[in-house]
Amino acid sequence: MQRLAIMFGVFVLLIAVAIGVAAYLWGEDAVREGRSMYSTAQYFELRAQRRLPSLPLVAWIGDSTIMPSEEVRPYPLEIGKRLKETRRAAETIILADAGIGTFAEYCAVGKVLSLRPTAVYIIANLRAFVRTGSERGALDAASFIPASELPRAATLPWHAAGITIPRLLLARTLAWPQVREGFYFAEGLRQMFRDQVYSRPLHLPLMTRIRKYERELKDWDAPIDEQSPRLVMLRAAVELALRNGIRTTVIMPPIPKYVMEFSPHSVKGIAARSGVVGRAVSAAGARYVNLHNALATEDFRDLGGHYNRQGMDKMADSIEPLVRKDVVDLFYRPRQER
Amino acid sequence: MVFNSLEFLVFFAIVLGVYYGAVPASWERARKIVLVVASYAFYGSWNPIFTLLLLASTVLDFWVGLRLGSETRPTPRRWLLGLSLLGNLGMLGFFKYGGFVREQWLAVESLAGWGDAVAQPWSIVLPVGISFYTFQTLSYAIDVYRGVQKPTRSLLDFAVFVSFFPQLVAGPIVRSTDFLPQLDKRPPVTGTDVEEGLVRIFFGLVKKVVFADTLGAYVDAVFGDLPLYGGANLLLAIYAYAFQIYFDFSGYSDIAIGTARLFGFRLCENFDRPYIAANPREFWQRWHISLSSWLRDYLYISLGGNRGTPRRTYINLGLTMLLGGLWHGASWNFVVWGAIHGAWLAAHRYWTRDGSTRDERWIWLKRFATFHMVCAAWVFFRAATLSDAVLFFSRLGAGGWVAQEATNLAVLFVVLGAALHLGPSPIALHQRYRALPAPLQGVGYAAVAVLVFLFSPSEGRFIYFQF
Repeated sequence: MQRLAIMFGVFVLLIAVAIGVAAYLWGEDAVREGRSMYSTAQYFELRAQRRLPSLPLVAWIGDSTIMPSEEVRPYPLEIGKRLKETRRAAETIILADAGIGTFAEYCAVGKVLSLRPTAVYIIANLRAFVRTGSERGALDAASFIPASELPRAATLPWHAAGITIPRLLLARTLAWPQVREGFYFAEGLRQMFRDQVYSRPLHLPLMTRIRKYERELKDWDAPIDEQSPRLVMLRAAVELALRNGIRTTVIMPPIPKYVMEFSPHSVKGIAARSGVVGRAVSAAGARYVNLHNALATEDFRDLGGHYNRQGMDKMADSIEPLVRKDVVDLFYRPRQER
Repeated sequence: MVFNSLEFLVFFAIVLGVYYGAVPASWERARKIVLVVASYAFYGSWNPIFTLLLLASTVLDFWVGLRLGSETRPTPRRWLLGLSLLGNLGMLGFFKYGGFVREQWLAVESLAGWGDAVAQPWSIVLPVGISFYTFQTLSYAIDVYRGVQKPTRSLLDFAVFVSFFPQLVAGPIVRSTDFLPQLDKRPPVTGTDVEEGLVRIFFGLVKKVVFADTLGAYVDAVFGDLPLYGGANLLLAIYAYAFQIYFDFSGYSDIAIGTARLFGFRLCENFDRPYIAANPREFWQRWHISLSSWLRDYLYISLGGNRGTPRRTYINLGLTMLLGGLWHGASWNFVVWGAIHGAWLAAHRYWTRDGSTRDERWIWLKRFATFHMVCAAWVFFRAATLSDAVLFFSRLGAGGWVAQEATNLAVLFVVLGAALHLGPSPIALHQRYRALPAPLQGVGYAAVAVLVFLFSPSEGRFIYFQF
């Protein structure tokens, strides 16, 4: 046992020295790198703040199709602008990050609950339902799940995103700033090391890029059913919002035409899958807006299903009446008329 | 929870703390309860609902064992065994092969023009480790049926045997004849046990995180875009995969054996430098030993083994390996992989029917040939589809070389993997390490911990978790 004690003592001492040296040499770079790796929670933190508490709040939760960019104003902001012009102003917040899916959206609903929004709009990109394995943002945003929701959260299929229940519980400690900084440091340090040694083809030829695009197109064309983990998570997000008395709408965003015509079964298959999502959302008690077929090819700016200015305007035209009705019904109309 | 994760570290520390700190050594029953609760928590961390399957398998085979113990008439005994087979294989069949069968049926429908074009395959979630614990409980029922094992009268002991978390999800597949006696008479855990356990755990972590995952990065890049690469890249990729899967699975087994040792249990060895095998038979005596011996004892022998005509023996060998391939997963790739090994074993048996297998001449050439035959079969094991496997072989003669950041490390780890096979056995290496002075061992462990931390991916799964 004395041998074990010596071994353990040397081990602990050296690990402490290694951490100290790493923090001294690469501390700031590592924390910066870690922050960039786990950006979803930071985006959510930054944007989930009320600036105009006297106005109704409309919260949008989704992926890059509603993210603000330099090229075009996202349609949620356009809708917000139009509401303001008609004296039915509402504050708009967008909790979005590129590549997130329903796991992170479920966590984001937890974040917006404390802001007491009037209505929540959740983007259900069909592409997000077919992914396997981990999901960007799901882990670091897990600390936003309200404590009262945890027993229910434990029954959800986190395994499909590579998250175990203990990991989900550990992720809650990220709500403490010191733990979060330590986490960023550790993850950033590891990423800096991995960047030095891991696999990246040095020169990708054109054909490889084309094959990559083909795989991206196929992403939309994969089966889902009511038990698909990502659909279960969407339903859980909807139910969480509804249980807290928030009017909830799920929007299936448009899919480029060339994606739908990619294989003989795609048009029918995509319509069928949109229907599966719709049935699940409606059964949970939320409103479902199926816009998968709403835009033409010229309304997109890339293969990933992002809209150009014209596409954004069309989306705003389609959704604005719903948002206006929600805001007027729930906030501006006298209580007895609602 | 994978072994190389922070949550496992926390979980393991809590379990060890409760097992040794909160329960006195004299209260063995309470310690067993701690192990069962910890094992169910470990298994449920993926998906709590699947603990019901584990419970069902445990209760079914415990009951079957008890009934077999008290039943002497042959027909009811056969029925009881049939019930165990039906329960375990039915569960395995539904979860593992249900989706595959449905997919094949939809393909047939589509070809024949019967079906609905948008009909969906079933998306059945595969419970982690189901192939391992169903085989473990089945072996118990078969052993009791054969009279090799006396049925245990303690449901608690049996639950520990089925659910013991170090080996629950990826083996080694433990036999009741080895494990249950350890629950009755177990000497107290000594400093030597702890040292041996730690060596296994740390060596296993290095194998998995440093070697297997680094090789995996290169393998994934190449198999993810086969048309890009020429023969040299592909050859390196398949060597890399051969060592990746070895380091991954043997690393897992090492951690499992080491973890069990910290609780005072001894699990069987699962690997013994498989790539120095000079023929397929020897390969299967060194690779995934707990599975190959299971297949031999419970499938090959049940099919008749070598007791019939030579032709019947070849068929039994082929069938055993075909089913062994299918055990790994519901895919035609695994069927082909199993068929290759089955045909190869049968051919080897035919060529060595006069006992020439003991011939030591050309041993290096035989090892070289065996390794490459194993690698050729690995192509089917690793490729995403059969057509990818065919594409792999068709591009072996293609020229060109794509440089990647991980190429140098892949070459280095393949060479290191080969060197580790040619050097002393892993057990001898562990003993040599343990002979070092304690402070030096502490330095080694700290170095390993730093390496494991740096190489560890954010989410690392063991390859054999999917089987």
